[in-house]
Amino acid sequence: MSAEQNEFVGWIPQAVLRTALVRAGMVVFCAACLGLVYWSLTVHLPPVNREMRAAVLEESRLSDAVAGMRLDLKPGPAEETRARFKAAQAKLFQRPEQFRAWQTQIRRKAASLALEAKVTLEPAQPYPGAEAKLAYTQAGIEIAPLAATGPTAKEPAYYRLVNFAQALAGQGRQWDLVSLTVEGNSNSVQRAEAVALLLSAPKEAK
Amino acid sequence: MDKIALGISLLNGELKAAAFGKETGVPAGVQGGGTGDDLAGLGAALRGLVDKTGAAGKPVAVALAHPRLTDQIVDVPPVKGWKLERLLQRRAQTTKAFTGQAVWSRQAALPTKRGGAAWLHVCPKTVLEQLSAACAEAQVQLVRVLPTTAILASHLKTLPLAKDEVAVLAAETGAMTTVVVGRKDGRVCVGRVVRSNWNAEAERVGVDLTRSIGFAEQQSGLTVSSVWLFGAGAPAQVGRMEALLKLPVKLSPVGYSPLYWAEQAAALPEPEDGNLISMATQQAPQRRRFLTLTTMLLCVVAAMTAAAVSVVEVTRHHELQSIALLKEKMADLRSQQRDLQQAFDELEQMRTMTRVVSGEKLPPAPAWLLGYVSEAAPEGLVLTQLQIARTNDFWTVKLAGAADVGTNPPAVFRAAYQSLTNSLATGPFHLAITHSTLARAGEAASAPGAASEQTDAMEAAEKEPDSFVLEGVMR
Repeated sequence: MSAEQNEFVGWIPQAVLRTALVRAGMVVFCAACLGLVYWSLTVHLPPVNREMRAAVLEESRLSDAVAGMRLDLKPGPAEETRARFKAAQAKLFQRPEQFRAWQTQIRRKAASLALEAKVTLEPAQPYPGAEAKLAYTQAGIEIAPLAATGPTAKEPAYYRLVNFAQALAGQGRQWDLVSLTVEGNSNSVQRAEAVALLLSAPKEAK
Repeated sequence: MDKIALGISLLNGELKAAAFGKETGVPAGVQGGGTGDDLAGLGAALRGLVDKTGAAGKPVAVALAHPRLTDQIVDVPPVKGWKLERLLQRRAQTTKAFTGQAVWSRQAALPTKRGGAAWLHVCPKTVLEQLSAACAEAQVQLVRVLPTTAILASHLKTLPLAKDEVAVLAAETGAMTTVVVGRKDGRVCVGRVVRSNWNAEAERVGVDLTRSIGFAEQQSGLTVSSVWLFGAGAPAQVGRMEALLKLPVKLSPVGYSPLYWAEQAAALPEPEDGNLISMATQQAPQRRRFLTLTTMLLCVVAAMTAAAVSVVEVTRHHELQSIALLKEKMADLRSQQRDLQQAFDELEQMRTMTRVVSGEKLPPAPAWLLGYVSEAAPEGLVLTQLQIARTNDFWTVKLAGAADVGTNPPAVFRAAYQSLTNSLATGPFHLAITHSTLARAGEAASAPGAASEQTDAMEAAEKEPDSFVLEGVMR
């Protein structure tokens, strides 16, 4: 056994300690390298991989969806729809004068059949399924028979009411008779009430 | 350790070298001259020897006898390992007979009367540094420095001694005499260098040997039984020494040669050889090579790690960039999707609106039914109420009436009612009757199997006799 430089650190020879430290340092270095690679491959990279895969899938899904929608949204049919829409729009009640004219028309028709018609308009409401493009106004028509004169004098009130109802049905598509209630007796009418739906353009669309 | 190519003896300033041939291993001697105890000019002298032997770059071993290289037998407690090393380190540093740091080595010693002992060779660190520097100057690698006492202890093994016999072995080492007292197994109880030799001062050597023998016997409690001499002038001194020591004195059977010490320095077996060069220094070249290799490997590992991490980082960076681009694209696509969806919704609303406005107008069912009922109502019935309303895709109808005045027979009223319901159900309207109540004074008829309706009818009959209520739906 020799001891040229037998320096001790505590109970441990300096040379042994130095060797051990150098070896430990090497092991630590290698471990750190391996750890760094492991961390890079298993901790640092995978979340980005996952995010990337998810982003690619999402982008692909969106691209497909947009492409499909573009295919579905062919210019020709869309233009046709718009043209039909414009044509349909022109048929709607759009201005208050039109509503007033309609009310007048109803009253005149009733009067011509010796009936009195009271028309009440309720506020417009969005039409279900086409809220942005269409609204409807419910019109209540209270009908009461008048004392008949002239050509209708011989016709019972019931028949005049039938005629009135038929006259209502003969109008354009922009309104529909959706309800009719008649109370009375044999060939006599005490009271009648009709409800019509008037189709109009919503306020926003105007 | 690489094979030692050059053995050098440096005995109190007298330099000799033995070079070992590559093939034969037979030593070739070279005389190096003197350097003095201060080892001045050792480097130049060694360089000359190295040049002559062609041992440059090779490992060399030195047998050293130096006035400041001393031997001590020290008592050691029963400890081992680092504790023993530390103890001996303290002992060497405290018992040295010179200033400055000491280097030391140890060998096995015979136990003393007090217990276990170790044999320490203690040398000034400066001497060893001078030797190392001289070897470096001569471009050789110093791997071994053996005290002559250590070589002589190994020499004990070659003597024809009995197992437990203790003998003195004295050898000429230049101008001095190296003495060890020990057994055949190489363990000694005294080792020292006497500052004279028998060629010059035989009496003085005799006195020193006598003192050494006495000290050894006192220390170990053993009896020295023989004295062995070794050296160039030994044969001439046997008789004289025998007379001085009063003990049998013999010549060592080992043949003396001037290169004996140099050869032994190179050839002595390694374990516990008393080498003053630390194991760390001996192994320094290998360690340096190993360190270089390891460092290179670590560099490769570091480079590979850096490369791997860089690849991962570059990949990650690219993926992050791609993700950012994809997110931009997705935001754009979502915006497009929203716009398209809005366009779709708008078109759908347009279609719905167009369908509602331009589609088929609702049939004038109220007018038709009103007209039809007036025709279909049979004699004997009076209609008092007619309700028709559009509910979803159906028209719900409710008719109420009563028996005409004078339609007393129940059968007539019932037949009229039956006729009306038949006309409505089978006529042009195909009214699906969901509820019908016929109330007659004193009796009630209702749809079969409907107890509750029967009760209703009875109540209705009580309220309004001879009346009916009819409900149904039609498309």
